Amino acid sequence: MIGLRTFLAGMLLTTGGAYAEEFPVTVTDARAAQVTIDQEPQRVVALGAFASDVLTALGKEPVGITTYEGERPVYLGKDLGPATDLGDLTAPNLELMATLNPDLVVGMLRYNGPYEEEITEIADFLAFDIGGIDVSDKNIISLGTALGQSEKALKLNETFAGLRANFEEQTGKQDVSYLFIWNFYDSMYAYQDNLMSAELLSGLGATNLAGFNEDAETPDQAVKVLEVEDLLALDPDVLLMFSSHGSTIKGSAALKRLKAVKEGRAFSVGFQYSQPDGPIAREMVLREAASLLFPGLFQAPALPENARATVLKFAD
Amino acid sequence: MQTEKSSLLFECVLGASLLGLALVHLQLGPSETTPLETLAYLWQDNGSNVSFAIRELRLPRILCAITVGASLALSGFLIQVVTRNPLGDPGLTGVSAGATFGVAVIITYADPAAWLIISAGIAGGGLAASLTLLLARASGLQHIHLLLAGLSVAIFFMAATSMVMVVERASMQSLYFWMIGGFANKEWVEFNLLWPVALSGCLASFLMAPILGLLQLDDAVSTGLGLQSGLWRLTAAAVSVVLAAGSVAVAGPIGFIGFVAPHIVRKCCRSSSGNPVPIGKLLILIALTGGTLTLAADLVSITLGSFLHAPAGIVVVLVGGACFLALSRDSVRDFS
Repeated sequence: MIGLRTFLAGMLLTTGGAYAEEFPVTVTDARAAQVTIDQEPQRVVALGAFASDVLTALGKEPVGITTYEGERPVYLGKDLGPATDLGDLTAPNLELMATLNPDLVVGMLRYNGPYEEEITEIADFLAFDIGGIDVSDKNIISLGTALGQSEKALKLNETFAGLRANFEEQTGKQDVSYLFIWNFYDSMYAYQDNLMSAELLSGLGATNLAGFNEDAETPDQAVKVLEVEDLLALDPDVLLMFSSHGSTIKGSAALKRLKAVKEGRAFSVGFQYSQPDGPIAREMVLREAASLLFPGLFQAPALPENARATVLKFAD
Repeated sequence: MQTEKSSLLFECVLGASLLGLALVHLQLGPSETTPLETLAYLWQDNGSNVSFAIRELRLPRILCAITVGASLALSGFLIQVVTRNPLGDPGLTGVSAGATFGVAVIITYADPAAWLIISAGIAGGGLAASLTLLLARASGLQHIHLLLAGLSVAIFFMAATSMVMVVERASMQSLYFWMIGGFANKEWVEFNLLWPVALSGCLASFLMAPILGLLQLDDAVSTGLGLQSGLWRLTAAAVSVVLAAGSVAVAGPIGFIGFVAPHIVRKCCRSSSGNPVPIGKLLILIALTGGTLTLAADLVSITLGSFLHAPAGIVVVLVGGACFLALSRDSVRDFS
């Protein structure tokens, strides 16, 4: 079975070894707060998949993590280590977190910002935003610096930029349309190009039928509520769905009329598509999406089984 | 005479509104069509996606909205009669909270096939309402006891739903649309599960029409006329529960229709002499009013949908809440 280690080994080969950082370091996070870290953090709590992903990519194991919809970042597999489960991303158990004696807590501004004071009482706190590729790059550098591995973080970004450029060169501008949808049973939200997963796919030259949202003040507002009739009218060549809670999609007659479904190009995709900001997740998304959108040009990458896309199935 | 005139006018307006709204609703969607094209597609399937959308998506959605509205309106009227409370609503029996719990359990723990979701909603609503009736039965279904029992049961099932979501770490977003209530993505599978329940409830209501008239009288009077009022109240409450549970299971908890529709009919069909409309006719008008209001709310939700994403449930609550405030004072006075 091909696991995350194979995937990581490929990433690390191209990013090289670790570099030592001189402490103290000062990092500016999404709150515009300047956080000074005196010593290399040894016990890091990761509130959100992004932090878990960066830590894993940099070879560190978090002492505590949160879950999203009841799931750990499954695409990271065992490399995430035996971290303590602190509960849901939106409401981590701070008391339990305090017992872990962390020296750094890395969270998401949107979810963890409201109780930053409490977190700061426990350890140094860095809060990040979600966004597009630029925001992801910036956050990886910031966190890498805080962890004492800024050069390795920079290398991760450079390698990814090179990979994207290489993929984009191979695809050119091809006439392939797609939709990436977060769904639960019959509720569907199409990701617009402001969000990273869609930005990666559109960057490959495919056309996102949900478009770009000019009015969105923050990237997380860039989703389009779809009804099945909207989906039927758009009729994309490729349909990617992330099913919340691993739920089965309603067996609508309209969905079965879609070109993508008839041609076997409708896929259920993994956790990493919904939380793609980390270096491991975004590379998995890019490589796999390229093979799904342009099967003639790219082969399916070696991904852990629970992160791999499968043909979409419907409820009765 | 005055009653008949106002009633006739109301019936004409109601019938025209229902047909007009249905026709407009049929035309609206990503692929808009003219009225003639719409009727042509409805008559014959030419295999196109537009034809499919009208016949397989828009038509069942419209029928679901009308059926749910009619069921909730009748259910509300029955509860108002049973509790002798003019502010009565199906939600007072705990049925909405129970149905929500049933749906939350099934979509959290099982593969949510449409028939399973609706069955769970009906079972949950039925269970909650049965508990309410059981608790209130000791007092002979006195309306204050029924209200308190319903409130307690509703709070219990709301807490149980929250517990399921917390324990399983279910995202609120997952249940978001269902808990607001609406008709997005309702197809023939939902309508085919709904109509037998709704039809049974409607038929039972019409068969009970003479009894419902007597139940509105004082218990001493109705008992003097030989009516077993306790038994009939229980029966009417059970029919109300069936109608509401089926509706909530399909469309989510859409509030206020059960309260507003009977009041609109009473107000619009009242003569200057105050003579009431015959109860059988009243039931038909209440059902049609509920269906029309719900269809209008869904139409507004579609029209606003491109920029507000407001399901029908929100529209109904916004308009219904305002009506509730406006009608509540008059209604209490009129009913007493």
